[in-house]
Amino acid sequence: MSYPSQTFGLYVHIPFCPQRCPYCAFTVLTGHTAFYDRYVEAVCAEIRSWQSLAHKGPLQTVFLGGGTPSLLDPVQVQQILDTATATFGIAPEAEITLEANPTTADAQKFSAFRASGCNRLSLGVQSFNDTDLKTLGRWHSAADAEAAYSTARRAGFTNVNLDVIFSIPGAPRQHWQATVHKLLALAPEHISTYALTIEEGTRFARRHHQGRLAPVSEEDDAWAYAWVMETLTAAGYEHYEVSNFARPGLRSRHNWGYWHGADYLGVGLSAHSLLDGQRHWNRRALQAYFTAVEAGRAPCEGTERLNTVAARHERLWLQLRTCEGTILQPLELQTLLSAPKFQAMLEAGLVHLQSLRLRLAPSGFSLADAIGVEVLTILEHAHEHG
Amino acid sequence: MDVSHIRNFSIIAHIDHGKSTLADRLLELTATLSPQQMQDQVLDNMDLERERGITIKAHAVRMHYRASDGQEYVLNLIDTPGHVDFTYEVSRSLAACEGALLVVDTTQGVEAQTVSNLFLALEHDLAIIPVLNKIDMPAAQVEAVQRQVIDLMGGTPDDMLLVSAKQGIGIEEVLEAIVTRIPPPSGSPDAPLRALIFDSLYDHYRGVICFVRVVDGTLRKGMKVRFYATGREYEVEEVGILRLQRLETPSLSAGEVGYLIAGVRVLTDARVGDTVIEAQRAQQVTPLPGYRPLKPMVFSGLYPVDSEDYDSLRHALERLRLNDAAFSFEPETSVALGFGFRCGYLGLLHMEIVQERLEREHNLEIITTVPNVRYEVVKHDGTVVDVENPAALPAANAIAEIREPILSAQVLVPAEYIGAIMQLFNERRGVYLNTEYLNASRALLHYELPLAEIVTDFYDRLKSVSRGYASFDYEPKTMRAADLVKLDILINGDPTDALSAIIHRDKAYDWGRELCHRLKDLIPRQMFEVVIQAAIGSRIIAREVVRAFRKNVVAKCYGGDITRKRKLLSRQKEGKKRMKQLGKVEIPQEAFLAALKIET
Repeated sequence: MSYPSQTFGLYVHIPFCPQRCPYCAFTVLTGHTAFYDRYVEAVCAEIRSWQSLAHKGPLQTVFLGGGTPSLLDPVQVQQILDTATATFGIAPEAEITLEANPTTADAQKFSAFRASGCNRLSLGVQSFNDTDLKTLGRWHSAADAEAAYSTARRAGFTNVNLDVIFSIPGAPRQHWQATVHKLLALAPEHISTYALTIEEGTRFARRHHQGRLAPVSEEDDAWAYAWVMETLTAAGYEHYEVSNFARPGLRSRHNWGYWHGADYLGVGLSAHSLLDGQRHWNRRALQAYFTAVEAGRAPCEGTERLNTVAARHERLWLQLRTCEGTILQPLELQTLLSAPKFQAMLEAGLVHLQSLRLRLAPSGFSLADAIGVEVLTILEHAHEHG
Repeated sequence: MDVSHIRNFSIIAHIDHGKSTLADRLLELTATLSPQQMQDQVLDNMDLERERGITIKAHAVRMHYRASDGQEYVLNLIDTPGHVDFTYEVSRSLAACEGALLVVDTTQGVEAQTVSNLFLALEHDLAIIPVLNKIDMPAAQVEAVQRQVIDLMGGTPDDMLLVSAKQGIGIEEVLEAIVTRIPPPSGSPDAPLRALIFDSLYDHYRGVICFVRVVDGTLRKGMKVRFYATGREYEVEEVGILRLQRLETPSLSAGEVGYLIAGVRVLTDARVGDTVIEAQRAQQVTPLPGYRPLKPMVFSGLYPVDSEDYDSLRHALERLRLNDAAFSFEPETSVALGFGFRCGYLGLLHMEIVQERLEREHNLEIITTVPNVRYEVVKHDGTVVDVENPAALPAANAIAEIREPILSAQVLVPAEYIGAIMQLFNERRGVYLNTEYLNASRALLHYELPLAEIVTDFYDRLKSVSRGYASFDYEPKTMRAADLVKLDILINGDPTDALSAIIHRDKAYDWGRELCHRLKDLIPRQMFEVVIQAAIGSRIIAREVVRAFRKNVVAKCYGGDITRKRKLLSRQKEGKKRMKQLGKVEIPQEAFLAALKIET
């Protein structure tokens, strides 16, 4: 199975959450249930306003992310998908993902989501250890998560992703191993593993600054990542991006598009779009978003267009995060090969070269950012000095 | 011009005692510049000078003053640089004068530079007018400072003028004192020409402009002159006096101060201190005394961070040298840093000024290596070589002796800090000579001190042990043998020549350990481990390790994360561009100066 990069995708941001997790730095809103209808209306209006993109359709991927999109009523999800269909069309084989939270798992609701057209469910289970879930401030138990997974299966979701977090403060290595073993037992089609990072502005950050929360050591963090790569790969999952694993043929096509320069339209609060090389992003404040959309104006907060070189370099490091790596131009390869630092990375086995294809080795995934910076520094320097 | 109506004078002072402000007031009161032209401290016209509150290059200006005797006088103010690095230039400026205003800040009292400048002025037999400044300040201690000045140079309180340059108090009295207490120049306009070059600068349109004091004879346009030290001859293109701009005159005669343009192409041909004579009467004159060529005292390597900038750096250094005859550079190659230059400076301040100008005016990212002095190395075969770069030290088994420059140093300090100062000088291998008490509470300590000991972290330490009350001054004295060794730094096993130092054997061990430790803090963690070692010869005396990253990757990078992530990577890239690549590791610019902050 191949994963085309020239797709057209739609991202719909649903910012609502039952409560804010103490490690989360995303644009989310708690409470606000009274605004759900108005928000869905606004999102639909925003989709319709992009009628001019109809020629790019039909959509190959739709992703309802958040936030907690599963807080919406299935009717509202239906309304969004109908609007997308009416505006751009949705391809029959399209991947349509909905992010869901274990606490919102309700058999009827999940079946209705499935019936509305969603064919891929992403469950934020985070951990299968109750102590860890408590540390993370989650409001569901490991049993709830497992039940939600079964509910999804019974509702007819044959493509399910489970999100899990490692490097949870205070958790011994065994917790992570147990969580991963549980994952293997459940055998979802797709697994995303995220290292916990302490982001500024979160409750975790505050507790960290006050000395009440000790992040795990770099040693343990590196171990957890290496261990999960090895374990999931051995179990037949394809490690296809820094944080993502899938059964063969079941990578997230929507996310794949992000890393390969596909066109995508993002609607809703703070959503980002990339259309014909131009990136723009929406307002972050709910009221400002409503005001703009309801007045028929674009809720755009900023735009950027990269020059050819910058765009090429952005693509390069994004692709480098994936298992397929990037195809270098001959001149780029020549430049890299003449840099001692690049040679050292090759010798250390952090990257592999196959003809013009540059890929990260498993050990290189742990250092993906450092390697990306290195490669770009070498290429930019060569570019600046002709 | 009637010589009896000329007065040539300088203002000498410790840094910040108000020299420039006083100069401004004199210019104002003599209407040399209108209030509209008035710009604070007009004589300091480089940004750097103004920022640092010091005068780096000397300048001169002519004022007209109608004195209380009803006569009009020409007053030539010859400004002097205010830092020990430029002592020689101060000396040349003073040689062009008959008198000096000795400015002392009454809130600070007499300082080391006050003393050394005073002694310089007395050596030139100048009439000294003590000017006690800042008398309007609440912290002014007029009587105490009067006593200090009397202790220093005799006289009575009545000899001293009480001034507030800032408030314009007592300025008229200063002008009167210049007329009545400073003698007019001697010298005959008809004698063979002798003119002292006390400063020079490079002008892009006119070439070198020399600032001269005519001692004997007359300097005329069209005249054939010879510069005594270089032996080169020129035809005078233009002479004139110095107001705020140059003002051409037909001639300059004995006693006058002005400028000379004679088709001199490079600054080093118009050496400060040289004597200009008439080519045809060369046999009839002896040059003016005191000339010596300017010799750099402190050296450092300058390298472009990006080796592609080598040509730009060379170009920038050439431009700088056009304006600064005391600055020298020559190409050198470092195994670690590639192609660069070894630069010579008069002192540390001079070095900082050069580096700052390179970065600001030429926008270059440069790596500076730790400054060092010039060593004389005597080899077993009897030959003597000058070593200006530690990496160039001959092999240890070829060396019979290494000699280093020794300073004659004076430090003026309140009595309660004498102990702390002595301890500091002791740590710095100082040889105590004697102490003079200027009065019961202030002492002037005389030492011999290796120049090498003041190029690393000396001034900060001096300031901290004396709570800022010590003032320090020095002049070069001699070269002397010492037990010196070369300390090498190895990065991942490779000797990094740019970090080598020549250091006294007794200090080498602590130095090496401390330097490794500092380097460890300065070198960021990276993809590969960095092992830092210090070695004397083949013996490793210290070792530190900067661990490699175990993990360096952000977990989430989806549609909404890309822009932010790209900016983050960009910042990291910019950071890397300011670092020097050594093999597979990167070393930040500051690391090459790490040794500057070492206390041993």
